[in-house]
Amino acid sequence: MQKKLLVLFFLVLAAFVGLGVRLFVIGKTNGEAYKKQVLNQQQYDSVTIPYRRGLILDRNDMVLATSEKVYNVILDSNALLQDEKYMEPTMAALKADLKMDTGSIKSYAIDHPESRYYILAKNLTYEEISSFRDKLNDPATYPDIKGIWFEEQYKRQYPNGTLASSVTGFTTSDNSGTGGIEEYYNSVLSGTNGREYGYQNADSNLERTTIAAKDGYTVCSTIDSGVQTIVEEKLTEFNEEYRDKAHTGNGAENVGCIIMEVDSGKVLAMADYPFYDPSEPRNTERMIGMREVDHLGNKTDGESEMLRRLDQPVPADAGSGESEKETASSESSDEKGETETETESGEEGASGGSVREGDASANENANVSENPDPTAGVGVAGLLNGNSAYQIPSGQPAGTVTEGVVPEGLSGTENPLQSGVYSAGQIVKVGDADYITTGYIAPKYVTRESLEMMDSETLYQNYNAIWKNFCISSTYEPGSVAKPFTVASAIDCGAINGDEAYNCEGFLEVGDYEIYCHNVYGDGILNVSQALERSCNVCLMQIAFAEGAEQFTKYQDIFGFGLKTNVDLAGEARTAGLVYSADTIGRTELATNSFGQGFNVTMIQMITGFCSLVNGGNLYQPMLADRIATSDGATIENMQPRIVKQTISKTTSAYIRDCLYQVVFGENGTGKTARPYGYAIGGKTGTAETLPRGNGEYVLSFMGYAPADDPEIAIYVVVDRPNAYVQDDAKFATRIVRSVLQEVLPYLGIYMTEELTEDEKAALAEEGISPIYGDGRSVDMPETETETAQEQEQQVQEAASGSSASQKKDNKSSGNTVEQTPETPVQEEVVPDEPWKDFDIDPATGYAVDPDTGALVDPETGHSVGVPTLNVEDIVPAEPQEGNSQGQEGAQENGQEAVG
Amino acid sequence: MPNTNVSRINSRTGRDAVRGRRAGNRRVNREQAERRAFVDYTLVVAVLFLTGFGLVMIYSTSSYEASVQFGDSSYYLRKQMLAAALGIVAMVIVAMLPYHFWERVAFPIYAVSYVLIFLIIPFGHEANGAKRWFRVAGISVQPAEIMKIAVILFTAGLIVRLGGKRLRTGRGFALVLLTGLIPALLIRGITDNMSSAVIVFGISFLMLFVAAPDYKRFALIVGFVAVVALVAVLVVMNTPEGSGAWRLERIRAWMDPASYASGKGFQTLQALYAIGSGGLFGKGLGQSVQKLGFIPEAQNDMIFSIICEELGLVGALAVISMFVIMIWRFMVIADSSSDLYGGMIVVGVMAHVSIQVILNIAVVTNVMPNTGISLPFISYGGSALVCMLMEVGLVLSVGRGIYIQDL
Repeated sequence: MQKKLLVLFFLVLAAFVGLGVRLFVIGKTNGEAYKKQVLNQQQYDSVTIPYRRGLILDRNDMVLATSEKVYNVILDSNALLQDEKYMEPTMAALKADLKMDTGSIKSYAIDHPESRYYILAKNLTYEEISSFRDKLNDPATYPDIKGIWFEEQYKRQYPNGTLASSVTGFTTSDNSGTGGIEEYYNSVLSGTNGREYGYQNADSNLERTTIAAKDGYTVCSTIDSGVQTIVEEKLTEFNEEYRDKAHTGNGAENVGCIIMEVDSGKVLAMADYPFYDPSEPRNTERMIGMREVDHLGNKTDGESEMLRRLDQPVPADAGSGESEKETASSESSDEKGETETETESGEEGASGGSVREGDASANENANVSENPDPTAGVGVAGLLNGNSAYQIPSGQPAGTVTEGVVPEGLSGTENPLQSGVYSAGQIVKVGDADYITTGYIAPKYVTRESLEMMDSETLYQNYNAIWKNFCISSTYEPGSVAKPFTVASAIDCGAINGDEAYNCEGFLEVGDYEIYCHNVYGDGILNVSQALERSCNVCLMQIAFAEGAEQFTKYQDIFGFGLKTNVDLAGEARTAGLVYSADTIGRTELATNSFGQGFNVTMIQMITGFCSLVNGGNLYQPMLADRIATSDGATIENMQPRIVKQTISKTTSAYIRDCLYQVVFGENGTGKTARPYGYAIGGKTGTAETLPRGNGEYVLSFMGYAPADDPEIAIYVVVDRPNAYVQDDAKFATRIVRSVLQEVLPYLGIYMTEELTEDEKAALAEEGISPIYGDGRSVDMPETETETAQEQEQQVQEAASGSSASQKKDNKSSGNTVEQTPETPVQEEVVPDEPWKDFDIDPATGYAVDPDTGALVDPETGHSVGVPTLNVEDIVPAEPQEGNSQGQEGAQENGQEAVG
Repeated sequence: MPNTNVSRINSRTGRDAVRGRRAGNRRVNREQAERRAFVDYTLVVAVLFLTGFGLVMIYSTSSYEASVQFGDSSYYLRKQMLAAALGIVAMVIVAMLPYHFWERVAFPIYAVSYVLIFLIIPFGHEANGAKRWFRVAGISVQPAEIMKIAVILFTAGLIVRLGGKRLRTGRGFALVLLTGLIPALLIRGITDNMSSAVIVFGISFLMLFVAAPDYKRFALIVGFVAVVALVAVLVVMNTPEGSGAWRLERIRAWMDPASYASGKGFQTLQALYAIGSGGLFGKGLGQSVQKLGFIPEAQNDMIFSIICEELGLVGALAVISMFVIMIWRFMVIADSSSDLYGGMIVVGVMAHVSIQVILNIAVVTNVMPNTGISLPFISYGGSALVCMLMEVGLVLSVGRGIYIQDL
């Protein structure tokens, strides 16, 4: 028995070996053929039923993104040719109902009799195919229509065009999301395909079974389409106003706006210009005017050198409307010269350290500055660095030419403004105007011509540039909007109590450098609140010194600078390497960081931190989606607002609110123009210079909240390099804020609290806005037409009488007419401390002219116009590291230190 | 009965009685210290692995069809898991029972199995066009499965009773063959289940093959079957197409499945596609395309083709290796068993498993004509799995009669 047992075992083993060989042979000889066969029969015998991608709704269930069913017409030649009698009726129906060219279809079918799947037409709507479909479904009447069937698909649609495109993102043809909610919530929005397939039952008959597709879930966004629409309208208006103004291109390189609920972190609106249409994201039309990037994604420059016009900063901007005039004429009330840099997509390269040894000219300036009267050195800097950047126009009208070379022989010395103070830069004369060479190459903007020149890689990078959400993916130096954070941290850690007074002499000596205030004549003695109101750099530096590097960097971390906010959108930038730590920050960096220079942030970081400043200290995680539902509408998940941490105490928060209120309402406040008529808001302006320093390019911003007494929403607007000769004016941003809030606040049902002046009523009537008050009182609104006429008349009068810029400012910001409130007491009071008030007003520009230097000065605030006010060399903006080398030694192009 | 169970260790097989007794004496001396029942852990691991792997593959192959038909992708899995749990409990119980218990009840079981097969005629439950099952309280039981165990138990007892001498006579030989042949014919005739019939007969045939010392008769029988098969093929090839019975068509489809792709050859061809498209390492667990409707009821007889598609040639050979290990352990236990009865039971189980695995893979790879035969431990089917595990329990029970030193 043992022997036979062994025999049996080996027989069995032999059988297994034989079967193993059989398996191997099947794979070896027929493997490839069978693989193809498997794929083939997939196509023929089983049909995929596509799922429907989930909707994206706004907070009022308005559709932001949807998927509509479309149909592909499929020809099955094999079925069609089963019987000769099928051909003619089928072709007739195709021709009649689907308007197809039956000749080519017929010849294709005859040439490919075995073809089972040939797409005749794609993406037809239900209406387009319904008549043919009715015939297919009625075999009694039309028995001979064969070999045609419809394949269903879904096509992603964004019914509102560009609305909230940065928030939604878009989808590629295979239904995967790119950017925004589409990408972040891709797995939620995606469903599972269904299937209709044939199989053989026990009697070997082919049966067809259908398994239904599982549709994707709906994502309900926190976006309010009403608010979003207003924001996008205003950004578009801004672009219309400034497009092609100083050069060919958009109104600014980027304009971003975020509106957030202060007490939840829910984003009501988020937009960045230029927009794209997610329904056709590859439409190159929308790129025109955008800053062009090269095949590596870096911003490109043109071929010509950038020139700056010397004599006419104002007229260059003027003539484009009332507000424009305002900009140009006088009210450069904001701090200037804060440095700003874009660090998008690896752009930051050269900058690395913080302070480089000043060269000869810096030392010279430093010496000059030791003089109690610091103005001597300022004019040089002012004229060299301020005012309109311009590209040489080659004799053509301003703004029409973007390329060109400095014409030879145009240099001259006859410019009256030059006054012998120009020690550097070449003066050139083009036409009637004088220009000074800047040493910087002019940027390049996308045009139709350049679009045609792009290779595929460059085009791809430019697509990425327009798809990028500026609000979360771009980093920059924030400028003075960071000042409230500095003050809040100093108070919260107990370093100051708010009652301290600081003397601003116009500059502060830090190490080997003198870092100047925007007001080089000095703001005098200010307390903490006034320092914020006037945006005084010197005070802020002293506050930061009082606080110390340890506490300062600790609070930067608490406010979330350098950390991702984890907003639920794809593509948030990482800024961990773009802020200083206690170990890496030096005294100079601490000084510049105190007024928002030298470290980089994203917009979403700023407004997230800002909300905690004004809401009592609760830092909410920003959110764009708060509910997920099934395709039937049943809620699956409610995302609750999430408090990440307590940043500051309630008392500190209340103090900051008071300060921010003064920025908008104080007599020296820099943010007056951000206030919507009839409302009380608080906020802070920002003006930051870009790299390289002194190139005349600025990033303007305003960050505020409303209403002032009980914050409900926060708004943050950033204008990146406006298309204007004089860029360093925060009113580029504040005017957007005002126009947005003017409509958004009533839309949100927030009542007016402030009395309207006649001027404001007139302006509101012109904008078509009715005042709303909580007590239901009615306001007598003037007739629009007459008021407009009056206003025009008034303007004419003002222009004729050469009324001062300060009066005009009062007119606009507080609403008082010139005649009503001349504000003489104020002037008398401050005159002794404000020497610029006595300067002559240059009739051509509306700016005051410093008789000692010839520099142009804002007659209201004493701010030098278009000038990085201080000429401390090379206090390099942060970007302390790329790749964690904490190197502080990196050199920066020599540029004037901009001081806000 | 040549080997009584007086001392349990006095003999492993009839022929080893002397050597076994000597070994036994030696052990008796050290009885208290060293007596230790033998548990074949290799076999246990192999069985549990195959059962667990079967559950994984059943879920992989059936989830799609289950969700289509029942809206519950784990429909088949849950039923099979229940059966596996039941089967493992049954296996343990059977393993604990002394297997000589079955010697006494073998005939009653064998008789009851006949009755059950006849009861199919009035009470059988029809499914998939065949009447093979009883449905009791929602559980389907196939009498043919019970008959397989009954034949093993009864044939083993019969062989022991006949003894080596009478097995050599034509009468003894025929008697043993008939214990398998009669139920096989009944199963074929009443339940129209060719594959179970082949297995039942095959079990008794192989048990006889191991027990009887000669080869001649077996060679004659195998030769006869081979000739009949050859003639059948020739007849089919010479019969004009379309005129034969459907069984003839099945043979035609076997010889050229591509020509019968939409009929009898469909399942076979789709299985071949699955095997061929799997390649060396397969498409990955759960990634089969063929199970999505192309191979109907892929969790049943054709499950091996999906294993090939998802896990490739490597995975398929690994599964085959597992069966080889299992059969090898059967052989070792049969060889070491303390008496002939135990040994014959193990041979019967070994025959059952071997036949079924070989036939299943042969069908899937189109080595032989398509007939419904499931892959032991892996294919879906509750009563088959429970019976199979009970058979393994029998083997373990026999194994417990062995002591470590005997090996």
